[in-house]
Amino acid sequence: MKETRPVLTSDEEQIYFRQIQHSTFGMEGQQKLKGACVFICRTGGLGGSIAMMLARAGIGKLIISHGGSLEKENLNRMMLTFPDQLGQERCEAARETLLRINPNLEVQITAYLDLDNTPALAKEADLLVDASPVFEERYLMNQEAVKQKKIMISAAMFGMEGYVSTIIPGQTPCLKCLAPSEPEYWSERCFPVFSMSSTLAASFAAMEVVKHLADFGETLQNKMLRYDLYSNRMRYLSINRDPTCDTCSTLF
Amino acid sequence: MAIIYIPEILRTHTYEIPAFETWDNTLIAALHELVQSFPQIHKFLFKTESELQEHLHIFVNQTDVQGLSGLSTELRENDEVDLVFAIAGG
Ligand SMILES: [Zn+2]
Repeated sequence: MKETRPVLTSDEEQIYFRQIQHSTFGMEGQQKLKGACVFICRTGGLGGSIAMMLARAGIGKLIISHGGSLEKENLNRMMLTFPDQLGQERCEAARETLLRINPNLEVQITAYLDLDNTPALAKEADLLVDASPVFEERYLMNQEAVKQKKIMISAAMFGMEGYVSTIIPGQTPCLKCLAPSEPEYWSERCFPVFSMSSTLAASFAAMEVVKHLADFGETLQNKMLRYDLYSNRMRYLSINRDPTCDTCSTLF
Repeated sequence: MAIIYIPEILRTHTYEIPAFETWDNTLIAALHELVQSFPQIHKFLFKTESELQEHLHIFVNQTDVQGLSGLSTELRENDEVDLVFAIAGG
């Protein structure tokens, strides 16, 4: 991670006062956030909410990827979008809102990820966030995280359930250790979404990003935090790497 | 009695029942009982009769059974079993 610790302007000191007040985060943590770049795959109910919270918390730069145009059925959960943006490119709509929240934020946008664009985007970032509804994109992010030895926060949801975990290549299981191939039962539109569920996973994931960047708090390495809002049940599961994993086994 | 918590992804096949109580004293016996009650979930759980699908991790009291005794893991009074399927909703 970069050692850059840019100084805050007096405006920023006022905006982030209540965060800086948190004793284990402080001014140093806020400066680290300002100096950091996070790459988030997709700006849907999950990734968009993570981006929104990081923008509000004072992250310096976000790289966001999401293709296609905004549709009505996106509005129940994509917190960065509004009805007057229907038809607009999703990524552009997300950037517009992020800059309203934080005009000092640098936002780099790209459409869908592929083998060509992912490595360079990951290289640009200090930390990756995997929030795609498509396993193929999740595996691309995972592969780059492992190759470039970058921390990746992985979050996913299904209806009222979801999970968050932190992948630290060489120290924790990677995504492929947990899901070696795309399950037959999965398709991009197969899952129901309540925004209350996607934003809950997003809150844990965004907090995880801030804790890693500012180096404080307890993080979700080798753990999966799993919730079910149907029964209000929350679990903190111990997860193990797969010694035969085709992506990360060489790191151990 | 142990409880198996049924994830949302399976609940259309379990008449929306979110939890299943079992007196079986091994994980494999409990899972077979679960499948007997809700046959449509068999293909989500098992690759063969004695091998789990690779997209499923099972936790007993929050520990992956791969680190315990796998499908032979014993179940005791008040044990909690979580079935965690690979999901990618974003
Ligand atoms: Zn792995």
